Amino acid sequence: MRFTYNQLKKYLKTNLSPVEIANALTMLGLEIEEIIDKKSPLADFIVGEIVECSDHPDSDHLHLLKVNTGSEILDVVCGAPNARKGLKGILARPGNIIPADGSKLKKGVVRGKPSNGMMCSIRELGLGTEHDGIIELDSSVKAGQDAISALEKSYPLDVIYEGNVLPNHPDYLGVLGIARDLAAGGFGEFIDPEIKEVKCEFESPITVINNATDDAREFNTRYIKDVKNSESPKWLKDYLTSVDMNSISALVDITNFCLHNLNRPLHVFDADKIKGKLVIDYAKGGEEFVALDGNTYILNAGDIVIKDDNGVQSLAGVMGGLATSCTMETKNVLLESAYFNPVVIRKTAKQLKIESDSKFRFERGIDPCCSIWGLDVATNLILDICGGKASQICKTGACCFKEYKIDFPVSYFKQRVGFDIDKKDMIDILSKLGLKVSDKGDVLEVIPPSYRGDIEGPHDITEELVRVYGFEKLPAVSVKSEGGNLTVDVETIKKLQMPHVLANRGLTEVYTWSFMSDKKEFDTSSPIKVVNPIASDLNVMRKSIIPNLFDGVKENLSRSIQTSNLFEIGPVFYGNNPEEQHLYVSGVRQGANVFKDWSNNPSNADVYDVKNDVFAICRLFDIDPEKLRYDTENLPTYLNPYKSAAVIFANKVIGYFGEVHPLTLKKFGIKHTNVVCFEINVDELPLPKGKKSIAKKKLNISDLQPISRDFAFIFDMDVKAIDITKAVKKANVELISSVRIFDIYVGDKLEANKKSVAINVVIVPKEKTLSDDEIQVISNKIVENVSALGGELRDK
Amino acid sequence: MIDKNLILKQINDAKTTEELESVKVSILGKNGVLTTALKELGKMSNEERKTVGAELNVIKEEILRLMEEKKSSLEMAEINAKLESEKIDITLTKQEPHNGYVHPLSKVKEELAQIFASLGFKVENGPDIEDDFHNFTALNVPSFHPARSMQDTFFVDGGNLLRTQTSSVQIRSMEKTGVPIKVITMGRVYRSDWDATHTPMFHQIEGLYIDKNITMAHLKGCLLDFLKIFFETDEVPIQFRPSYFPFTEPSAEMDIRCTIENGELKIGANGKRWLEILGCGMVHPNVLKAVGVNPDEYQGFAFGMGIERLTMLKYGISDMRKCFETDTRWLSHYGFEANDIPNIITGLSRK
Repeated sequence: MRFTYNQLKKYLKTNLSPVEIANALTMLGLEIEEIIDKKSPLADFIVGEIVECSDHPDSDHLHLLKVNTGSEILDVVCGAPNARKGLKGILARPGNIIPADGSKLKKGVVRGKPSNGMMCSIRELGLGTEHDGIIELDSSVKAGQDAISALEKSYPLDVIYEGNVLPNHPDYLGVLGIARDLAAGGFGEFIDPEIKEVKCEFESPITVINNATDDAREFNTRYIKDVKNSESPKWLKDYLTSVDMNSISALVDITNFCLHNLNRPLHVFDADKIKGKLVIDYAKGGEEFVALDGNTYILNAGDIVIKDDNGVQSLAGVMGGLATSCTMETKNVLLESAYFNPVVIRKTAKQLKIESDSKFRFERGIDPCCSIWGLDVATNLILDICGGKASQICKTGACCFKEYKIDFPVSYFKQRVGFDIDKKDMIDILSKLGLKVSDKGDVLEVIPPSYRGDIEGPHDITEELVRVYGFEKLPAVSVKSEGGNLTVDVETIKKLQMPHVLANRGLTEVYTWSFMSDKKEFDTSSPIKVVNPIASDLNVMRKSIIPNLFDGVKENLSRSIQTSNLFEIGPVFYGNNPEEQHLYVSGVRQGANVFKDWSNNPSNADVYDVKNDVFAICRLFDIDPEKLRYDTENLPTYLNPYKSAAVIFANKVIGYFGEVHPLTLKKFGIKHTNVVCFEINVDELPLPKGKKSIAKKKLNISDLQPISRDFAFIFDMDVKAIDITKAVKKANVELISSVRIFDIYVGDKLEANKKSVAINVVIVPKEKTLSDDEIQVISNKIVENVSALGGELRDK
Repeated sequence: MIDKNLILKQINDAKTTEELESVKVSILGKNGVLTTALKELGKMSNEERKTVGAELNVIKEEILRLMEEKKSSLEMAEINAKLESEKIDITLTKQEPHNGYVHPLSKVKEELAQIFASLGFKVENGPDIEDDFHNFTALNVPSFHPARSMQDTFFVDGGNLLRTQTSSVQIRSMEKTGVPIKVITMGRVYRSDWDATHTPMFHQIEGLYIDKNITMAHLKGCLLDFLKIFFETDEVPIQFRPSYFPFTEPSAEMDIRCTIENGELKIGANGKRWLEILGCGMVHPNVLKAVGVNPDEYQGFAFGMGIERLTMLKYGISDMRKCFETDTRWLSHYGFEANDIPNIITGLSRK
């Protein structure tokens, strides 16, 4: 809501400065976001009179002026075509800040001639856009007079506020309402505007039939004949310009002025263009309507319309029609002032996607009792500006407002807010806000005024009181719980620890959008479409984080970043319902683990690095990686099927890891091979069960020497490492403490499709030293178990 | 008789441990001079053997001692020589594996969880795709209420929407556990807005405390404690400013007095401006009614803040949009090292 200081003062007697008013409003709940001050920047400017004007000898357009400041004569070089002897304008002197660009004027020399000032244009003074010449003031001003008093008559030297009106304060949508609230807050005295009685000279010749009184609750019209439409008078045009409204013609501008000042939307028809009766009714749906904005709208059933014999002429409360709009030729008008159900207005405007000042006010809630009042204010203005004769008011429906009582227990305030204010202060504040208050002892009986429909119960009264009284006395009471109980649950703790675990493994955390392009999805079946995406490439909810990470890799490569190790923890969506969301942790590795230097050869990140990433997350959730199983058959298509796996824990797929398929890399424009990635559905990881005791289990370390034995076996190529190590371990689960594959050989020395696997086995005796025979028994068992897999012991 | 001086000279002149070893053999070996001399003792008379034997033993002991001394000095020299020959350029460095970093948003989320845990709040979660009831209706925003246009909402196929605020979790938590309740939630929220200071997705933290006698004074106490711990300062001048949220009444916005200089936030009474930090208020009776709680019996407060905003203010980050890019140059600068774990006792951020 844009409004001006001068207009505010028409309704408020106050000595407060514009800035003090702004602060007061912000603390009352109308946050002032911007103050544009046209006046104070001109405080140091004066009127200058040109007493001599001659042409600059070295220029075809510059003039040499002698300007009287009232106390001295200054030399000024000036290029304005209208500069001439006798002209009085606004003079900027050295040191003055030019409002238009904030520059400080300095003494200068222009083509050899001294210039000690500047005669200003309208634009330079920040008063408008004209820059054809310098301002010409009328002859009554005097040289040396201050610029503000000289300009005030002709230019709106006002302070303009931009205020953020929140939905609970529809009364702020009129300047009068803002003034009334300031008065309630003790920042001045409210001036209720007097309304001249309208002389009603005849009966309105246009019959109005209201068939929609449920929603067009009150619909009043007045016929005004023999008006002369024209451009608005200067004060009205200036006013509308200063609050960013367009001036159309006097008749239309008057309705906009009332809307803006009184929060009272009005409509004015060209009465001669109305054919037959005016009927207020619900649209049947499908009717075409050409609105004032020139657009044609197809109406929906239930929209409230105002029709005549030719069809729909106005969309109630939202926008008038082009066919019956006023023009400069309009002679007779029908002025409408109505009250419509806010919900219907909002629905209509939303379905048709129309914004208007009128609709905005109706849906937020105007005073339901101001219809006649608004009609009279506007009639008086029309008669003053456009002349004419007014009819009696033609009324349909009736004011729908019924007073209601709220019982407000005095103790309720403290009970909710935490501090007390005097009952006397309560009554004073509420009365100034226009509420009727009766003191019933412990309870105040409160009746809100019609313009504060938002006040419904004691909680609203509390808000009004604390807002006007202020929050200064609000005490602070600690909410710390007694005792140092830990309130963060295991799930949250694990989730908070995940970034640290992965960062420790050299991965960097990113946050990417939850939405992405449908073109980047791996799983293109049933996309979760965003109906109104912010950009066409963010049009579906992601079913995987991985595509965003690939984009990240690609962007980093284009930034010449050699290595991207990225991860994200965030939501992934399986469907468009709230319960179909899962928390995923996903990562990607591309490039060297360690850059090449004098001491090493670089090694690129590979599948086993991301497998260890998966292990790290599993360990965080107390899952032993040895308990994981792998499925290489059912893999998502973005992975290389020969270097990837689904990870299975407790018979559930918890995620995937592997090398990215070359075709996927190509699709994402990554010209780099060996990109590996993983994704884990955190929701599938069982939370660690609460341990019975914080103390760790007793450790039993054997004092006996561990025995280390190496074996080498020849296997068929596709025998899996996990099966080999399991077979070895099974030879003696109790005594074999570790099984480690330390070499794999494939090559000329072996038959095709065979591999040699070297295994180190550590046996830790528990009770007593093992004899050679006992060790041999274990060794034999190992060889036996492995041979069941087709493993053949290699000759030593 | 053996030439003691010659022997001692031989020992002294040995240049390497090998040389010394051969000298030792020449003296004490099977045919060594001293061994030979000792063997000769057997041929001597008792008298003579006594004196010569004693002399030889003294000589032998001296030789052995000298040998030992010489040996350790030679060894020392040899080791030193070897070490010197293996001298390295200590200024060289070996590449470390790449560092990983924790995103500043995660750091702040962890700080927030710690702070509010210390104030007795549990952590709850809720979904990003929400239904109309939890995001609007239950929060006292019925259909066609003007407050619906305060935030531009994204919708997904099928009628659900992307939550515009974490307040939806207030409803879900109360549905789940009832009251009394003391929870926070942190998560992604979505609004159709994209410019220098808005992104279509950002994070909020929401707090809710409902019990029988919770007032706005508790709200103020809670937020003051939070600000002091979060911004790691003892003095936080604040002001409450009336505002409007459909789900609270009275509603307020809270400002802190501060100055921002070169991106650095300085909080204090001598600050140049009031800076809006968060929105809050007393939970609206209609919200409690929506989850079946009697508002005459229970009441309490709720607050909400943008996590990006808190992060930017605390850590001097100027462009919010960068939070959602994957530029590792930015991430390694504004991110945190893996072991930089906030701790409410030792300080949330490293000084």
